[in-house]
Amino acid sequence: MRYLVHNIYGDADQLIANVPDDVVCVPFGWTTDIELNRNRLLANLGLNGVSCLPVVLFLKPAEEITVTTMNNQTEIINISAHWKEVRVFDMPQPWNWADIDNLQNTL
Amino acid sequence: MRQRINSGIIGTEQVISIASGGGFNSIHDAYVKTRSNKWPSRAFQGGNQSAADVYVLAEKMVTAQNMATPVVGGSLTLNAVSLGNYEYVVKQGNQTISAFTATDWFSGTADTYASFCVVNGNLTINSGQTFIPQVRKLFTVLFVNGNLTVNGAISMTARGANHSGLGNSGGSTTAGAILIKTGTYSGITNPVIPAAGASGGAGSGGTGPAATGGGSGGGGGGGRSGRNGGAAGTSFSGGSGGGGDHDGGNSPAPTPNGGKGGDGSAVNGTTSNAGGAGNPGGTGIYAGAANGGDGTGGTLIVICTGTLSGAGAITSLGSAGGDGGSSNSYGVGGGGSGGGSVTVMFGTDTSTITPSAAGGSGGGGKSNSGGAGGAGTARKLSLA
Repeated sequence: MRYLVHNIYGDADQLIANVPDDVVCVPFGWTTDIELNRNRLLANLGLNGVSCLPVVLFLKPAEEITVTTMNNQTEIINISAHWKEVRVFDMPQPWNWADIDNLQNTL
Repeated sequence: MRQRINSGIIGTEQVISIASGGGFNSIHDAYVKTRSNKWPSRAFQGGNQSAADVYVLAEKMVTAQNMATPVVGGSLTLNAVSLGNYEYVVKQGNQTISAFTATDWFSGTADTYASFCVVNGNLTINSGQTFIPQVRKLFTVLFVNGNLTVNGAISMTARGANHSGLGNSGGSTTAGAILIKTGTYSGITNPVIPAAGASGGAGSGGTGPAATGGGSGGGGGGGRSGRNGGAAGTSFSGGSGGGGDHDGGNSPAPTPNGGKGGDGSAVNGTTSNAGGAGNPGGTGIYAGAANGGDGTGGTLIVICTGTLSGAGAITSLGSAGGDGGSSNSYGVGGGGSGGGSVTVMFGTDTSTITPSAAGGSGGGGKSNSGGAGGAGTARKLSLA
C-alpha cells in the first residue's frame, strides 16, 4: 500500500483522477479536523511528518547495503524496512504516475 | 505626474511628486501639506507600533505617503507580543513588477527586521519575476489594498531569519506568536503563526515533523547516528538540519532559532559526513562531503483585499542537506531545513496558485541519507 498525500488546492487532481489501485489518497490541510486526520495517518505509519506536498509514501523493504571501505574491505550495513518519500513536488509538471513509479524504483 | 508649485510665501520654488492613486487630492491639498511640512495627522509615519494584528497595522500603513524605498519603522508589538523591529515601504497607486528590484521593497539588514510591503492599489507581478527579500527577514508581509495578480512568484524561500544571535546572525530576537487577523477565515479562528514551529526530525535521517496550527517545519535529522537530530522551527524560521554523523561521531547539533545547520561529525577519515542545511549550512567533514544548503524557510504573509489571480507561485521552501558523496568508505547525508510558513488571505480567489512550504530534501550519501526538512504551513484563507 502506498499513500498520495496532497494539499486541498487541486494541483494533484490529475494524479488523484488516475490513482493506481495500491494508492490511498490523503488530503493534508490546515484546519484542526484535517490536521487530526493527518496525524492519525502519520501515527499509523510511525512517521512524524512529510517534507512536501504532494508526496507519495511507500514502504521500502529491509535491505543490506554493501560498502567498500578505504582499505578495500567490504562491510554490510543492515537497514530495516522503513517508509520513504517520493517528493512529487520536486518533479517536473505535469505529474504522472509513470514518472512517480520510475523515481520510486530508484530510491 | 510631477507638478511645479511656487508657493509665493516662503519664497522658494518647491518640486513635489504627486503619486497616482493616492497622496495629494488636489493642488490645494498639495500646497497645504507641503507648506505645513507634514502629512496629515492621520497618516502613518512609522515609529514604535503596538497593534492588534498584522492586518490592522498594515491597514494603518496604507495612509502613509508614497515611498521609493523602505525605511526603519521601530519596535513591533502585535497582540501584546513583542516581535522585534520592523521596516516598511508603502507604494501608492497601481504597481506592476516587470523587473524586480529588491531594494525598492526591502532593506539590506538581515535577521532583525520584519518587512511590511504595502501597496495601496493593484499589484501585478509579471511572469519571470520573483518578489523576495535580498537577505533573511524575521517575516515578510505583502499587503495589497486592491487586486493582486501573481504570474511570477512571491517567495521567502531560504529567507528564514537566523534570530539566534549566534554565528552570522544579525542579532537575537525571541520568537513570538504572529497574529495575522482576528476572526474566523476558511474555518481557522484567529489565524496565527505560533512562536514554536514543529520540532526537529530525529537523528538517523528522520524527516522533520509536519507543522501544526500555522507553524513552520522542523529540520531534518542528519543521517546514520541517532544523536544528530534537526532543530525545531519558530515563527521566524524553519528548523535547521542536523549534520551527518557516522557511529561514534560528535556532530555538533544545529543551532536553534534558525541558526547554523549541524556540521558533519569528525570521527575518522573513512566517513564523509555532510552538513545540515541552515543559516549558514553546516560544514561537511572529510573528502566528498558537501556543506549543507544555506537557508531555512521563512515566514510569509500575503494579504490581498480584492481579487487574487494568476498562475504563479507563492512559496517558502527549506534548503537541501549536504550530500555525503561516495568518494570515501562511507558517505552520510545531512538533514534538510524546514519549510517556512505561508499564509495567503484574499477577498476573492480566481488564481490557480498553490502556496507551498516544502522542507528541503535530505542529502544523499553512499551509506546513509539525511532526513528531509518537514513541510511548513502553506494555506489560503478567504477574508469573506
